[in-house]
Amino acid sequence: MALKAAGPAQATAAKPGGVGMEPVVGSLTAGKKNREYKVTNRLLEGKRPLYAICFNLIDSRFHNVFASAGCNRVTVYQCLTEGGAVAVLHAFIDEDKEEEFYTVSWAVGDNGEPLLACSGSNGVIRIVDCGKGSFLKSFIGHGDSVNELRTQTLKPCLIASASKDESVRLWNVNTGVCILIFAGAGGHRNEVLSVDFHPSDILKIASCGMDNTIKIWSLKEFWSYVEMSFTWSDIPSKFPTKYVQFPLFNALVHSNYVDCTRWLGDFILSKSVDNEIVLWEPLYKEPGITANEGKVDVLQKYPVPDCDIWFIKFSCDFHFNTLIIGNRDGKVLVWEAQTSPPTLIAKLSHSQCKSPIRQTATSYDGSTILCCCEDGCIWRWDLVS
Amino acid sequence: MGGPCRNVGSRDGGPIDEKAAAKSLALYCKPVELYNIIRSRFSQRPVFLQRCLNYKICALRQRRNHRGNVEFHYLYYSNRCEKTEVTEEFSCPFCLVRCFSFKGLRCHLNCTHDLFNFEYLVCRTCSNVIRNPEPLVARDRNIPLNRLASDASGQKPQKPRIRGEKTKERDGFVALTETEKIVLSVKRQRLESRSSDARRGLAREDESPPIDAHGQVATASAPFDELGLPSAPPVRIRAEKTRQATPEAAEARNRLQLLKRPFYHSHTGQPMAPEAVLSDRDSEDDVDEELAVLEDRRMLDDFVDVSNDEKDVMHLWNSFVRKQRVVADGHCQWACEAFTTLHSQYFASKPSLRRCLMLLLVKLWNHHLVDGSTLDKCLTIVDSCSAVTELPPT
Repeated sequence: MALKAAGPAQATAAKPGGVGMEPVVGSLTAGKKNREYKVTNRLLEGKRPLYAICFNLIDSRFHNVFASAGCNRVTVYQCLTEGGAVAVLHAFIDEDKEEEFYTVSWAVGDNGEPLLACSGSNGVIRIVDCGKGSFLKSFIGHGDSVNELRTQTLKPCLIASASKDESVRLWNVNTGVCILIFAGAGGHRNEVLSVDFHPSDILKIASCGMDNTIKIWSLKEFWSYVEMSFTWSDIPSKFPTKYVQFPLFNALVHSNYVDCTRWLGDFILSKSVDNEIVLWEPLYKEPGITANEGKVDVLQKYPVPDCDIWFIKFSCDFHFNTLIIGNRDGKVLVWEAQTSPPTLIAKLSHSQCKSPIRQTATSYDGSTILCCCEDGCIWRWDLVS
Repeated sequence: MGGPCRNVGSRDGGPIDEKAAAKSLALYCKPVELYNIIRSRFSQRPVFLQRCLNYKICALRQRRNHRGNVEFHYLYYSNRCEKTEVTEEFSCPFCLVRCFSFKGLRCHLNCTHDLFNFEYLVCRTCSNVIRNPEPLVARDRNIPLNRLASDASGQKPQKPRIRGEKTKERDGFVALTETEKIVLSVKRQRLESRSSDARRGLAREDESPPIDAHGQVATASAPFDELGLPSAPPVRIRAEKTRQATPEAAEARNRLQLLKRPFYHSHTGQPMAPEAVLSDRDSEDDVDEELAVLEDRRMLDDFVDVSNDEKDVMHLWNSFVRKQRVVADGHCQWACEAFTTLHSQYFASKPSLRRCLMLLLVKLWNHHLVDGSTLDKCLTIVDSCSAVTELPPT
């Protein structure tokens, strides 16, 4: 640990490192591949801010279903194709009026039922069955509010939660077990704001937070416990929950709160409050060499003007081709994620959409964009074909 | 005394030397004599004037010792138990504040310790009796006490009784019996208040055996007779019953309390199952051995200038120290021997491993944690082991 905390490696990590090339910065003037989106719907859920919105890209049967979260309410909608129509399917309201949901994530139950996990200021994770429209269970364990929930796409019964209590937890939705706690000596030193599963490597998780770091955790040594959780039949609290104290990799890419992180293959997209999203590659240490600890190669940057407040999260389509983010002024930027240099596909704005967009949701193919705003509005944008 | 002088004298035997010896003896004795005189004078007449008033206060206290004695009777468990305490100088038994007068003490107790109920009884002489019943005490129990106390004060002067010490006063005997009477009357009250049918029957039986042994105090202490031995057993039986029932009831109550609210694991924050809450097992301080091994291995893997053998020995030692909780310097000697004995086969298997162990021991020796003999003992253990393993082939 002393070695990990040593300064020089981290100090150099913030600079464009690795191969010694300057990162490629995308141009804000839209390129040739310009796409046109138009506002097709606007829903007002209430006066309270909406913090999360999420398409169900976990289960192909429900790819046009999305959920939004704000105050003590989670609402499930269906995106209809005709004229931007949106149908409300369910609304779940927490008994506690003080509860403020910050995040939602879709999951899949034992028998393939669509589950929705939501959590927020109370730190209790609620699981609801969207097929039956019934509340299933709650997971207690976090000592403070939960800032983000994510689902493991390869095993959609596993969810990870990032909390203000400086920990990330891995849960099994079906057996209700808290499998692992990523916290301790090498863990985050402030609120964890975002967490994401590696899309193909089931053993890797990335998390980031208010300590300005992005940490990559390995489940390798603990995979037996994850497997044990699938068949656990005893009461959940008897499960031998393990602490993962040291991350595989600790990166200092930003100099401020890191509030959103997503894997793009083996690379990582992350954002802070510096008006940009950064794509970087973690340079894992080679055995026996400590010199490159925490070293990263910053590949490219996606500028996002007026995006300097924290808790603004971006989203991608299923194939991670389109990267969509809103900003403090209610404008939306659509980037092509996988080109170099990054190409700006569209810049969306509407005269009535002025308040900060906390999160966006991108449909399976990127043709529909949803934005949830601080003023309680949901805006729907559709691609003009 | 004067050893060398006498020696000198005996050897030479000269009269001049005898004279010199006497002189030196006188020289020695005079100051001692003077000192003795001064000491004896000093004990009678102090030479120095006291510059501080402390001695006055002490003297005052010596005089006010018998004045400010206050006897406190504490009644517990609805008057079922009584304890007595005597304080001096009208001081408060709870906070030791000196109140200097009985009135002051009254004011102090009423103002500062108002959670208790107090009864104040002033007797004719300087002695003061204060009863301090618990808040739970019923009023009707206090009233007879009042009456009885006034009776007592009306009869004879009551002297304070200091716990565990007979009073030296002339009328000490009287004081003692009076106090005794008051104490016993409390018991009587207690028994009467029970007033169960069985008790009544027994009380009637009690009346039949005449108790003349206490004749001389019979007039003042008629209740004594009712308190005769026959009445004691039922009380005791009853007390035993309640004593048996109380822990069970308390346990049940505790259980209920524990189940009333949820409890959470300190490590995981998960809600605990009721049986886990009620079980005696406490996993709070458990060390996750598997995780500790993993972390240790990972930590050691980070070293680049350390051979694998060295890492292995470090790992073994770290695990041993963790499991055996070797925390103090004093443990090290034992730990080294036990560690070497435990892994002697392993260390004997390869010269490089023996070398690693030796380096470890030398490191500890450098820090003055082990001495040379321990070092020697440890290496002997390894060598004897290797000798044994080498023997069978030959």
